[in-house]
Amino acid sequence: MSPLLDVRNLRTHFRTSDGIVKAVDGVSFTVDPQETLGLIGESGCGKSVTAHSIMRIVPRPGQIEGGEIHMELEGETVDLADPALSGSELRAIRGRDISMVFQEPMTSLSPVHSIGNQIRETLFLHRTRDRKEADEIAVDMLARVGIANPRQRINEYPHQLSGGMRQRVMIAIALACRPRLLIADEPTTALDVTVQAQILELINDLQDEFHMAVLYITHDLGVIAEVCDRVAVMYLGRVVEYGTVREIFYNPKHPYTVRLLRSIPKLGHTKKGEPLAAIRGTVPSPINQPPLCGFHDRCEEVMEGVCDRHIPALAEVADRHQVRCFLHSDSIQLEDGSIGTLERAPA
Amino acid sequence: MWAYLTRRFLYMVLLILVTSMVSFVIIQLPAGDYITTLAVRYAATGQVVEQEVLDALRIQFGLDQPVYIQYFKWFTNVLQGDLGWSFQQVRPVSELVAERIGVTALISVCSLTFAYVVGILIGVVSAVFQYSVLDYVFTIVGFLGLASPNFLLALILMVIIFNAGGAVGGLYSTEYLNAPWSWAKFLDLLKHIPLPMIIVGTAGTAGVARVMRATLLDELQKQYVVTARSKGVAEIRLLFKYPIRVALNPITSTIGWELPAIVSGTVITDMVLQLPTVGPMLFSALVAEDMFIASSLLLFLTSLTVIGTFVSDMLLFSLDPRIRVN
Repeated sequence: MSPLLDVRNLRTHFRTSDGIVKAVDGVSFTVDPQETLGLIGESGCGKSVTAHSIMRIVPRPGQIEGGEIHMELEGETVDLADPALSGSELRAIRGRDISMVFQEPMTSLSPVHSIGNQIRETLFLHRTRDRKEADEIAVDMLARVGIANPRQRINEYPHQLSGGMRQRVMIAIALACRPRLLIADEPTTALDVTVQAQILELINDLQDEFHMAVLYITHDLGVIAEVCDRVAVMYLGRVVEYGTVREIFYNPKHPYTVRLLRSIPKLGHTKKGEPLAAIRGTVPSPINQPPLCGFHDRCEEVMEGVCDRHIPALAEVADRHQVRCFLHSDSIQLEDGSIGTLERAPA
Repeated sequence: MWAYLTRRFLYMVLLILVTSMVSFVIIQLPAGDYITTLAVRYAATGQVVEQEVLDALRIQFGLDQPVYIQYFKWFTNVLQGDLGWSFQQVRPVSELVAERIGVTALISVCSLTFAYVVGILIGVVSAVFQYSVLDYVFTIVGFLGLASPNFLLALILMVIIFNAGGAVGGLYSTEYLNAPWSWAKFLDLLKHIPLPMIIVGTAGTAGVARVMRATLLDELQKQYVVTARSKGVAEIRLLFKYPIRVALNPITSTIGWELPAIVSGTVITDMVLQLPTVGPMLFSALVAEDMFIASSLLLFLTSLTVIGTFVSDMLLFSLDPRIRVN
């Protein structure tokens, strides 16, 4: 089966006055039809910028510097990263084939337009020009995302709804045109825990119902375990480990993933007074990064002269499991994106 | 909602009543009264007016009575539509005001429209193309407009236009000054309007542009703009439907506050430009302690300020669903 979305060596940089921020620097992954891929990482690792790049809504001064984003659209493949793609072609895809739900339900809806207006807008753009039909679909969508009294709610404004309800409305808008791919950018981060679970379940149910793929962006390992088929772990603008949920959780290879999993406190397994196994240090700023493994200064197994000299390449370590680490492979990622081999000094 | 409106209305009436009292008293605070001003004026020309005559005049005008009785008399008359007499011109105040208010309102409405239309346009361009050459030019010109006093701008523009052979000062050419209204007089008026419109409007334009730029820049960053973009809405449509619409709220809601400015005109600029507006009239009435005309005008302006604030609140109420309580 060919993938629905195929991101290859995506590079999105921000040219700021302080230097070039390589927010996304050579990210590759695929999303199969109806599959859920989790994109996980700390704040600032480039998860959201990756999502924005796929939607082509990267804010200035960010720009896609290279790479390809192939999207399968009714038999033909479109490269979303192609600068030659016209604005109207892109807009026809946005909201229809790929749509997005954002992190902040409190601000992601316009405060001065009714909910109905905001759902109809996307329907008018992609599905129907008929007001009555659009209203019907809108009411139906609101009912599907679990909003009571949809006929009445449709005339209300976002401030009259709670955070969870707003996120449901956002999901209704995103799914109104039955997209083939939904990008969910931390959709539950701003919600309280019980509502989080409801929203996760809702997205899961609707995914089955609408036969769509989901790219799930989060920093919450629990969410990944709950909803994803495969995971891409991101660190400092690159995917460092990539594989099935089972492989990543039970057989993590990259020191970052290992430490990340170990940092989760487990109920009943942590002794009283024992400190949390936090990863030491902080994520470095991705401004003017030299070619090296981004994690080398926080890694406990760092190899001097290797990890701080070259960028490791993503290499297969098991079936459907890739890792970007010199502990597991000798391949180097060169400046031009090609793969080289590390020459280790004899021990 | 209705309870809220009724309460607001009652506060409004109370506020107008209190301000009218306070302004009446303040006008009388300087030593002496209109009769003193009159006596001084006669004395300046070498004439001596008998004390008896002055006293008789005081009694005739009711100036011998305590302030609160004067106020009470004047205010009951106002409620019946009689604004009193102007001592200076010996004519009913209502007649004097009526003469000027139309022209004042015309100039004010023109300059306000100019200020808002141009200001909003500049603000939008500045925000959308932030840090572009155009933005910097507008910002510099805007600050100059805000910082320079209007009457100075009036003087400079008058010199420039006069040297270019244009019409300067006043609202009509001399031949139409006392002529009855005709098509030709109207056209002549139209020719004279742009200068005061631009001069009176510039400070406002700069202000509106600054506010518009700042609010729009704020709104452009908001998540809902990204949401709309992710739906596939075209950029221009998106701009007008979301951030500009939201950014207009604070600006539209201040239009009500301009209501008193519409009828008062601007004193110094209007004097420089020799415009027959209410502003200079109020000024001379205050100087001469011509109290009925001054009190009437102040009462009028206070009422409009209060009503304008009310209108502003109502505007915001209808524009922003978040404010519609209950």
